[in-house]
Amino acid sequence: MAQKMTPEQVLHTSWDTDTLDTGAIHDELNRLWAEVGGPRHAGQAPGEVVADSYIGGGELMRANTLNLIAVADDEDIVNMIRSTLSQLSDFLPSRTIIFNTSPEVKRNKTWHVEVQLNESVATGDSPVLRFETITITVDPKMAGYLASLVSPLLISELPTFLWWPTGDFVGNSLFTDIVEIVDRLVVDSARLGNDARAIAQMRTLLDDEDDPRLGDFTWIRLQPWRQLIAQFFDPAETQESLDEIAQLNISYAQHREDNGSGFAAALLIVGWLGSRLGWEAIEPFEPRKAGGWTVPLIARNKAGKARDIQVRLTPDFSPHARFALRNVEIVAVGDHSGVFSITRTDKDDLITSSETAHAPYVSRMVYSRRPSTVEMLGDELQQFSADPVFEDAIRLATRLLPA
Amino acid sequence: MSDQNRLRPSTATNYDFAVDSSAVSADHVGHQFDGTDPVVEQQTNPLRAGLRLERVPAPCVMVIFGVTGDLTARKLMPALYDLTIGHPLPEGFSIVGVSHRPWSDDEFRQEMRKAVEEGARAPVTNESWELFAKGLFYVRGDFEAEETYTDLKARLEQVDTERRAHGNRLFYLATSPKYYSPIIKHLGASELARRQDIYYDQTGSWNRIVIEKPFGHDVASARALNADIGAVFSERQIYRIDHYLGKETVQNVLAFRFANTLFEPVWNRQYVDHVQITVAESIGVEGRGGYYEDAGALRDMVQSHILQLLSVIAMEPPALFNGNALRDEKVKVLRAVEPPMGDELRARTVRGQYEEGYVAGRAVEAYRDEKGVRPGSRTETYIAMELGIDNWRWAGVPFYLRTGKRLPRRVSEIAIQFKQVPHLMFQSVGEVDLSPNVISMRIQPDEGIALKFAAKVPGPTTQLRPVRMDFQYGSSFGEAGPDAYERLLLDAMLGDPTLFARRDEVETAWSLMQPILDGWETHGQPVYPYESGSWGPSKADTMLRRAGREWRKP
Repeated sequence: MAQKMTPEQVLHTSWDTDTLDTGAIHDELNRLWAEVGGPRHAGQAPGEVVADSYIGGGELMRANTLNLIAVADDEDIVNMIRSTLSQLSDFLPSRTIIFNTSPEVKRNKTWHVEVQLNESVATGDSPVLRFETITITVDPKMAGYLASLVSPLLISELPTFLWWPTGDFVGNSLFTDIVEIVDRLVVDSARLGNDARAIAQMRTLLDDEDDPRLGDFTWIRLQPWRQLIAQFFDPAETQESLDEIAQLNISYAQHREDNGSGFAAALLIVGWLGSRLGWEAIEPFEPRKAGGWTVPLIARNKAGKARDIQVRLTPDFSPHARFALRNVEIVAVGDHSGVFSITRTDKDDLITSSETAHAPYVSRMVYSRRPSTVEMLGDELQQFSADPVFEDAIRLATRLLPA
Repeated sequence: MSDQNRLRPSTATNYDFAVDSSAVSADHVGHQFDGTDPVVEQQTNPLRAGLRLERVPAPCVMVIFGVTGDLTARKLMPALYDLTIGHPLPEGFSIVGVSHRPWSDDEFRQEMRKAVEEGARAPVTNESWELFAKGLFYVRGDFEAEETYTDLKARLEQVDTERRAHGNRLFYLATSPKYYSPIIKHLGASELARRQDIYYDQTGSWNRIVIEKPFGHDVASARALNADIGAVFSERQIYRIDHYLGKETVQNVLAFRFANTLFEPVWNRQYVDHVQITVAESIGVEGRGGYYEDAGALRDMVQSHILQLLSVIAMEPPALFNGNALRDEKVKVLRAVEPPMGDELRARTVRGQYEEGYVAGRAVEAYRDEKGVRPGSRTETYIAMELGIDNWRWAGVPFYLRTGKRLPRRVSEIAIQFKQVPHLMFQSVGEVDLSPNVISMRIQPDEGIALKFAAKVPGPTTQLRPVRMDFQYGSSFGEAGPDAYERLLLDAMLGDPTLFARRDEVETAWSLMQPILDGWETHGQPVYPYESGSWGPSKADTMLRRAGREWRKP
């Protein structure tokens, strides 16, 4: 076993083995904690107690927060996961277990195990942050064994999150096995591309009460859009327009520069508006000749009278798109008619505009930087409970997808 | 006197906005409250449900009186900028500054940019600044002149039209306290502000006022100020800001006490020996000698910050986490506080004043040599006192409070010291060094909570030593929470008064301090000198030593 201290204040140990012993991993973690001055004799688990230095402890303090499991089948993704973890500041997992099933890694033995005790470099008055990372690399053929390693490696009594950064979770048996163990699942539906069938599969993650709570980076990216759309209708006089919406037009990125797509984001906006406003799905989306999709929805007023809402999703084929959505336009027709629009510029701004029968045209630019992976993961790690608004949006959106 | 809570379930499904509405008619000091039912914005907008992270207030204009002052530059403007960047404050949010300096809008914006660049947490780029600065406007005027309010009214109407602020206004008094009453009277006379009782139409526009401490100089002036404010605003529109309550750790005291079953059973006279609350500053009066001469440590710190800390530590569990339920409990415990009076004053209060000395390796001058301080000043820059709380939970448990300037370090903490174990069996096997359990809550810096307990030293002999289990906000959650002003300004815009002081709280706090102030005046109370950089006069140590206790060294 080799051990070194990197300039980034990381202690780590790695070894190859044909027989994986989770006890050996715990022993190594204990040893690394002792290296940084942790109390050997105080406390049930390493790092949980601060002891005054005169009884053998160091200036070590820690309150455990959560376990995170991340799965990757590519070295670049593993590096991305590590980089993201090192930049997290809001709510740091106390222990992260990374499963690397990349077929490109050359191995001498069946398993390659790397145990790290990471330490963020303190700035100013900030205290030192310490967290553990266990990386287990295995041939993809052995991936079926990985789920059995999860429970023995977790810090007990803590919530456990699974972050699946790629889009291959649908139908993946490792995913299915680990999902049963964790409390919350974090995915990015944008990674499912334009595959309507795969997106529709996300609904199955909500159907079973025993399934973990679901979080989606795409939903986080939509936060400013939802805020700004909601703001249009905060004033009492414009809330009347919600009952007269006749059209919803959304332009989304067909291909994003990160290999994702804005299709899932567009669907979620439809699902969100529809579920909040009580719109009913009567038939699935139809492809449009000009590209994109269209679907009619039904809304009813308080007297039960129905009206049609025409929804159009239009792909934007801009090369190397950084955005998920280009434009959302809501058109209300009637006594409280109005047009409410939000457009993403090519920079970090959104332009909002609105004009109603009772208020003049106004437009403004809102600074809205796209959230980084670090920010989105940090946000997700702070959520423990279900988000019923998101779940309702997913349910309606997936109901609109063709079977 | 009867407490009457009328609880109305919120119609909002979003937990961020589901602040309960309640009204109360409880008044310790003889005033009738019309309630502080929070106006929860957007609760009828179905699209607001579930919008997590960001609590977005309705579009509004914040009118800052005294906008050219230090508070605006150091605290308000950076906090408002951070709120804009971190949380998208709504379309139309604007700031109108009022002061006497002859600035144009552009000059105002330039000055505020400097303040924001210095104080904001978020980076300031040309683009982000332009977005923020579009909503900044300036009105020049004398706070006591009628024309100022005519000009302000015209300007607000213009801003309302151009930026669709819907007539919602948050007035902020960042001026010297002597202008509070004149400004409030003019706001009423000019109809810029109007009284909004609990039954007003919540779909219409709102106006609220935020007032900085000091809320008066004594009981009489506090009541007079409250009467002036109450003539124009109803209690539910008034937000008395004490930034200590915006601090994460103070809010975490509530979570610590009432979200855990572990601590509350021992949080009483059966287990607690005494409580110490320390608010220590290493700085002196920093050029505010003129103000401080008339205030002193008791008025400046104890009446406001320290009694707020005491009330959250000692109060009974509120039934709900909302403005009135929380503040009812705080007031109830304050009413049970027994201030020292008459002959007890000398035994239970110690006043001190700093002399020259060294703080953090730097030579500092005596208080009496500070600018604006009278040569023979008897103003206390340090106070230590013992208070009792005469109720079922705390009877017989002393609460020791102390605050001072030019102490060795800046630290605020609350320490709950528990009683010794009733029988020490380890004495039979040798010498033991056993100090009692202590829960200490650090408010600043290094916010966190620590528990001291005894552990056996490893080895063949039985040796006990105290160890400390430490929870630090920074090491668990990484990033610091929002600045206290950010939190409180957002709450005021949202109409959530939970973390603001209510009228009866303020007047009750003054009614506790008044007998002390009067007693000092009547009986005379020495002001003991202490060396800058020390933990205060030795008389304060004596006060605790008489009871077999000692001050902590936080």
